[in-house]
Amino acid sequence: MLHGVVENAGAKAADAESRQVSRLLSFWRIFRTDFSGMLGLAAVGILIVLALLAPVIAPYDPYLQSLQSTLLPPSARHLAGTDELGRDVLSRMLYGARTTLLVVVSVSVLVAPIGLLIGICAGYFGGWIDRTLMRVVDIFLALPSLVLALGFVAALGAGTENAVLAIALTAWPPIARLARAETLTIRSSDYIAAARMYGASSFRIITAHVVPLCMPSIIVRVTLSMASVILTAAGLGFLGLGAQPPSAEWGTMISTGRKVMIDHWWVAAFPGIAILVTSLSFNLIGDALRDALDPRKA
Amino acid sequence: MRTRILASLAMAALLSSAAMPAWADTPKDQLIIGLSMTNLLTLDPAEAVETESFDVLNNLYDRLIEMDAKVPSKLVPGLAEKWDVAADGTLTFTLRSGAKFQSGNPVTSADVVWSLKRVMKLNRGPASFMREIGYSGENLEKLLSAPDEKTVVLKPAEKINPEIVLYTLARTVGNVVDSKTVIGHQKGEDLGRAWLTNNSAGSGPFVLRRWSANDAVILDRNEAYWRGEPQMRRVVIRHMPESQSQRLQIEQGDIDVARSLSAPDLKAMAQNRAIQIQKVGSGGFYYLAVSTADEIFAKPAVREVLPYLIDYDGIGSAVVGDYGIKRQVPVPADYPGAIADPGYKLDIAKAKDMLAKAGYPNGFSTSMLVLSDSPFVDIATAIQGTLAQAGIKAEIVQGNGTQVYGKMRDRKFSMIVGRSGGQMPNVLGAIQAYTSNFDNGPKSTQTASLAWRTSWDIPELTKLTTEARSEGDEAKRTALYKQIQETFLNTAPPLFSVAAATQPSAIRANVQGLTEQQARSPYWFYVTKSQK
Amino acid sequence: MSAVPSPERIERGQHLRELAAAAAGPLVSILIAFVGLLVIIFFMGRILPIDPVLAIVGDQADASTYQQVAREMGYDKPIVQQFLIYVRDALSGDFGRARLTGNLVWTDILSVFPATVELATAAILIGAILGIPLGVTAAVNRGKPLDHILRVVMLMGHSAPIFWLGLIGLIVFYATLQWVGGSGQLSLYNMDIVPRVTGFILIDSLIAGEVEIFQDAVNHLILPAGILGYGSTAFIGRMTRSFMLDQLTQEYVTAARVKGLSRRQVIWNHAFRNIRVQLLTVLALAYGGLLEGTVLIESVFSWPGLGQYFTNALLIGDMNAVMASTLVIGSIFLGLNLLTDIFYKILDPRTR
Repeated sequence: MLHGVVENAGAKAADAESRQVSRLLSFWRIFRTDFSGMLGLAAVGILIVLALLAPVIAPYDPYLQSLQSTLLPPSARHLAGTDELGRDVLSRMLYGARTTLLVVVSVSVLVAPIGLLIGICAGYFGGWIDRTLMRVVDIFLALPSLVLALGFVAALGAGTENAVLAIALTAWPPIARLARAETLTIRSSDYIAAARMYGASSFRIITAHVVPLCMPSIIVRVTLSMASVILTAAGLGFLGLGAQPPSAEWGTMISTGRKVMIDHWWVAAFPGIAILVTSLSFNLIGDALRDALDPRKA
Repeated sequence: MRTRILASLAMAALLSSAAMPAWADTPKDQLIIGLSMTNLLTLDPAEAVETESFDVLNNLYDRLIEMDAKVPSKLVPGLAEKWDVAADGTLTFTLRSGAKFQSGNPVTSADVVWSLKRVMKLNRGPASFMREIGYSGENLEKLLSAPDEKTVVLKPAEKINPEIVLYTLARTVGNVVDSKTVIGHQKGEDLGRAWLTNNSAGSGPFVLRRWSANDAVILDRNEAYWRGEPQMRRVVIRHMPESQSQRLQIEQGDIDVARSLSAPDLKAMAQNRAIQIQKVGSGGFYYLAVSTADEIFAKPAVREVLPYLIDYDGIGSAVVGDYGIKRQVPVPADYPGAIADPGYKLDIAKAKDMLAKAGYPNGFSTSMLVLSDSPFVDIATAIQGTLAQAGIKAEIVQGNGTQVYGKMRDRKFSMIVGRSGGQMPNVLGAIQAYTSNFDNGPKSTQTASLAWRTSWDIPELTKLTTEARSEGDEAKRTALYKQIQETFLNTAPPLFSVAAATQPSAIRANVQGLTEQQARSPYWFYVTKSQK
Repeated sequence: MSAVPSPERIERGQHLRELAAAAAGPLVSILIAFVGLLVIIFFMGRILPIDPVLAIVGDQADASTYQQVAREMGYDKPIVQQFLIYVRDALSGDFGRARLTGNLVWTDILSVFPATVELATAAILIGAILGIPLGVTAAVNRGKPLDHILRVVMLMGHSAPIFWLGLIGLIVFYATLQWVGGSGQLSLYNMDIVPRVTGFILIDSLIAGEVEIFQDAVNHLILPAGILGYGSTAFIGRMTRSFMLDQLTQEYVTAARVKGLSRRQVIWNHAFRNIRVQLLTVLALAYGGLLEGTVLIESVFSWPGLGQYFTNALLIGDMNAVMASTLVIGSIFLGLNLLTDIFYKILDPRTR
């Protein structure tokens, strides 16, 4: 008898998971028709490939200075010119893509588990835990994230790691809120009730059932915030609070390129375009995702 | 519909307003200056230690004697119409009559004495200039006196070349403040410090109207100035940390003087007929310092490698530009008694060889502190690049003045790229910070000494430097100067002069009386502007 | 005068009670959020790697001076008590002195804040003027190429780093075309000429009757405000589009069209009229975002506002000023949130 229940619960879980998969599939079908969204996705794909291959395809060492060839305009030898220390701007941009993606990935890796943990705990346990956690989330949601991030970096000290921490600190609440909402729907489903009846621990239910079911929407939500993560990181770099020289980071590159911008536009212009294109791509994806989630508005 | 009309109206209003030409030159009776004010922290002459403060103070206050605006090594009368040097080194100053403070109070010898004593009582940065020539809060009470309202007498505190004392008094430390006014604004025992930070009480050609940190300093002219009424009705100094924005504004004619331009920007404007470039020799040097308290740099053999890992020529031409002149001895080449460059050249192979002999065939890792300003960062990055070629990985850590020099004063660093300030326009003034270290212990009072900061124990050089200070005879002094410079270079110093620092400014061509000035702080009194 | 209140009075009373009820919920949560903000900022000041006591006494101080100052600053008390002291000081506007200016932080903030408000307000006007018509157009042309083009144009403003746009804008519009004034709020020779009455230079110059200075101020305002405003266009436009789509799919729109009203009339007189309240709340939220945006743009344009004050404080690690600026911007954020919530509760028929 008991055995049957468990099997049944297992089947229902599998069923729920497959429903989740089909939801994703239909979601993808809508997304696919969105031209600008697909354009963004393609651009991000290319960016990832370029970043991964940077050591292979970068024409020069991004840190190699050559004081004899400073501030050369774009040419066949240096497609994006050289900077004030004679470093190849294109190579630095390619390596900068790595920094940017690293920041995006680190923030996501930090933010997703925190958001999930808090959101699921709130949704799963309910009661005062829910109320307290959601209060905290609301507080963070109501605060100016860039200003808080800047404040925290000022307190922690400049640097890529601290920038990631500061951005993560302000980026988790929307994830938590979403995870809670998802958990609420999942919690009330039959197979969770069955699993609980069988005596599965909360820990096991959460890790084995709730988390996997929450993942797709969390991934979507994380993607939505990537553009703003990139811009915040670039802003920190620009103010000198992000990545430190000589590391190649787009915001920092603009900040140094600013010193020579009048005569040597390429030093600051190209990293700016890189940020613009990347963040625009993520925004286009995000926009299309939002439309796909709410087909009426497409 | 109504929204649309409103919107188009607003647009039209904005556009029409934007179309108004606002680009006339700056008014003829205002001098507009762009400057990075990050280091402008106070306008109290007893507290200010930064060039930016000196620039402003130089125009708010007067000193007994001044360095000539065009030939700064020449001393000219200021508030003192004449002075006398006795055989024992006693200085007697006679004040001019007619000089008045902004408040209307006459300038008296009592004000001079009070001002100097105030510096020593407050005991902030500038007091060290007086301590360097032997004065302390206590001995000044006896050595400085005002026998009558027009006379000030200063006796020497030690055997010293009197020229050194005069140069010191011509600097910021010698600024004379209006004692009555300042006492009136005293809070507790602060001798008016809180008030003077933001206000002025001088007899100079200008009066402080407003100072907001990192924003602007605005000066109004002192119509009753004893040299006559200044031509400029106002001097507006605006905080512009970015060289490029200074350049944009000076090219557009929105500012008259740009004081913190980067080397490439200066170079780019060299062809612009509307702009002249002024280069003032500072007597200071851009240097690379390593701490001999550092495990690695404690070894003289390692320090001896470093001159071969600095691209002097590249830095001199591409990095410092108008900010400096290549020089390997920390004494400006044109000072009497300066020796020639030893002729170090970037030589990676030789350096690698020497490193291997010193026990570091594969190089090592270290860190380099640097001020996050131009050209410091650029020099550091250039040195980092050449060090790397010999396997030395130096991580650059940027910071502001307090952070970088703070660590240096704590003697907790490995490498630093910094700038020394020349204290007097002579060999001693330029080199003494590099060659004098009386007490290498942590409690030393000589915290301004670069030798002390690098924990470099050099009793012999210190002795030579002291001798040169008190030597009255010029020939003997010159010989000593040469010996000091040579000994410095030959004892594996932890300090490497990279370039002699100059302070360049860009000045609009219609501004007269400023470009030819060579003193380190400008005299805006002499400035006039012609119609374009 | 009858003892029984008139029906209108009763109705009005009810309305007031409703208003109060509508405001009470959001007010409570905003108050809680405010306390949360204070907690966060308090801890921001405590994780500082620099010892705040040492920063005051200097490294020459001996142990007894150090302890005395630590006591004066309240660092020997339990953390909760320290927090309460912080809250008390913050609420009475005592944020200590700014290291940079030597002034009370509060005085500094009051003097720089109008410049930021002026900038953000001009920006929100530009954002609305651009974003709302674009959003409406996009909704009307949903799915057509124009919709996609507008989306990309608006998203560009949202995706470009504004500090970079500011730099490019200065070079193009100030240095090359000479259409606008350079950095700063005024030409330098016009600084400090108009007496400060409200702190808003546009208003003060008019009060003083200095039309030229007013024009000079507009000349300097237009570029930074335009860039900031363009940045908020994406948000405003997107929300407008979404609200309009809600309206355009409703029956009355079809009915009105059947009645023979022109397309333009239906769009602007009916559909747009219905989303005005929602748009107002969007603008309030966007305004908060703009206040944040000023942090970066002010540093590019040397705009003497709160954003620049904040970044300068950041760069020298002046935590008194950093914490106070964060608190001020955060409080305005919360205030705007509250306003939005109340708007919704009171004005939106669906939540009533």
